[in-house]
Amino acid sequence: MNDNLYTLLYAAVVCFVCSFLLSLFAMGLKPAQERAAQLDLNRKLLAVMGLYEEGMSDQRVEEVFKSRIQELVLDPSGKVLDTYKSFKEVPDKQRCELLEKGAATNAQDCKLSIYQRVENGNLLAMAIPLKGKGLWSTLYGYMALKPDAETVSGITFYKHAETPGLGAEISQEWFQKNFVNKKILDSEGQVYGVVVAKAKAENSGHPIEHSVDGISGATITANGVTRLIKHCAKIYDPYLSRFRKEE
Amino acid sequence: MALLKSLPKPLADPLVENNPITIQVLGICSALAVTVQLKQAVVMSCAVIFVIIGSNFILSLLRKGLPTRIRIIVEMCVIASLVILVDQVLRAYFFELSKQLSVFVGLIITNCIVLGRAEAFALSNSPGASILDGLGNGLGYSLVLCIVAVIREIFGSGTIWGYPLVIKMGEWMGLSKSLYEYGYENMGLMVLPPGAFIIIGLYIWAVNSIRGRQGE
Repeated sequence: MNDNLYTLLYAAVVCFVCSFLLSLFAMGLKPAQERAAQLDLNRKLLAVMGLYEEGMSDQRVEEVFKSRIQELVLDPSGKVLDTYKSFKEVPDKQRCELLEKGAATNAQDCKLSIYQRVENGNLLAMAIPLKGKGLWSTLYGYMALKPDAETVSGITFYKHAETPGLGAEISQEWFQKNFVNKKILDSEGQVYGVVVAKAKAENSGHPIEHSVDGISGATITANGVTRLIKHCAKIYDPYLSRFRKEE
Repeated sequence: MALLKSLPKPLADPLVENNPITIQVLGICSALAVTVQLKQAVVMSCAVIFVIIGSNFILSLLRKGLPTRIRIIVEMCVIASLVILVDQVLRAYFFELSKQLSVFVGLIITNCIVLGRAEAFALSNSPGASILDGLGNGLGYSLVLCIVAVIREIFGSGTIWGYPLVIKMGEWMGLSKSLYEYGYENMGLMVLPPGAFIIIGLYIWAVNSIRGRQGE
């Protein structure tokens, strides 16, 4: 009996010490991790909006991002809210949930974020956030559009936990570069999105300007990508359509 | 060889004589996955060396009071904590690399070398000797990892530590066009896992035939 008690106590102490030390380290490293993740995201945003050069230093990324990219806060009807300087000022509860079936998607008072690249008063690109379910995890990314608000200039995924080698290929360059110059609107101006085909884009049954090559062994992740592009493009449509009318 | 003999035995032995990968054939899985580029292999090596030394040292300290029945559980607990710690540090300071290494850092937990050394050495030796044993085995693992990575990166991607070796070679030879334009091609096989299988196999064969095969 004494022996059992000792074993139990020993196990409890080991668990306690291990978890205590780990949480201590995790808390201590959190700010640095968040900074690293933000920097990585900014780098990717610059890339999709055509501002990234090979071998840019961390500092340079920060500088370029600060000086060339502006962040706007919108309401679901597409109105720009001047009261906020950046999306960070919007409390979590008031941010629109982009997930399908997300609670606040239709809420009138929720806020959306969008990045724009403006130079000398000319809009050169904008990037809308993407969020949706893949196979194992929620995929987070950005889709950049050209000033016509319908042609894709780049897509990126910065956070997900899909299967390495299969679904995780969505964060690879070969997959992402297929999206460039695809259209998110059909000929009638309705949101069509970009469909990730099951195999080759040509054989998907969708017009070629709306489809990209798929990833073998990652159909569910690919379907998730298809869904989330269409879904998020629809949420931002009221804002995006303003740029189309001006043409 | 003279240098090897002057080192303490627990440190020197695993480098060649009893190398965890070539002789004990442990930890092969990660050796296949993270040897596409030298940079990844070096970071992975550092992580493994840290984890082996840490787990050997801690478990050697605990060895006298450790209840035998929950021995493996405690070992895993210590190893897992160290690996998570490494993963968190990588995520904070080497974000890009930690994304490339993805699950393989976490898989150090199941790397047979770490648990194997804890069981075979740390539980029956003093903390000092255990640290040396951990360092030796870690270095033995790293040595193979880096050799394989160098071969795979040069032939698979034509670079070394990201440096465009093949392109520069053409410049050094005074050619006007790059070697690729003369028809040189990177070897696709080297980038894929089977490339690592073949290289590790050849390496084990080479080491065994030089040492003179010992009875199995």
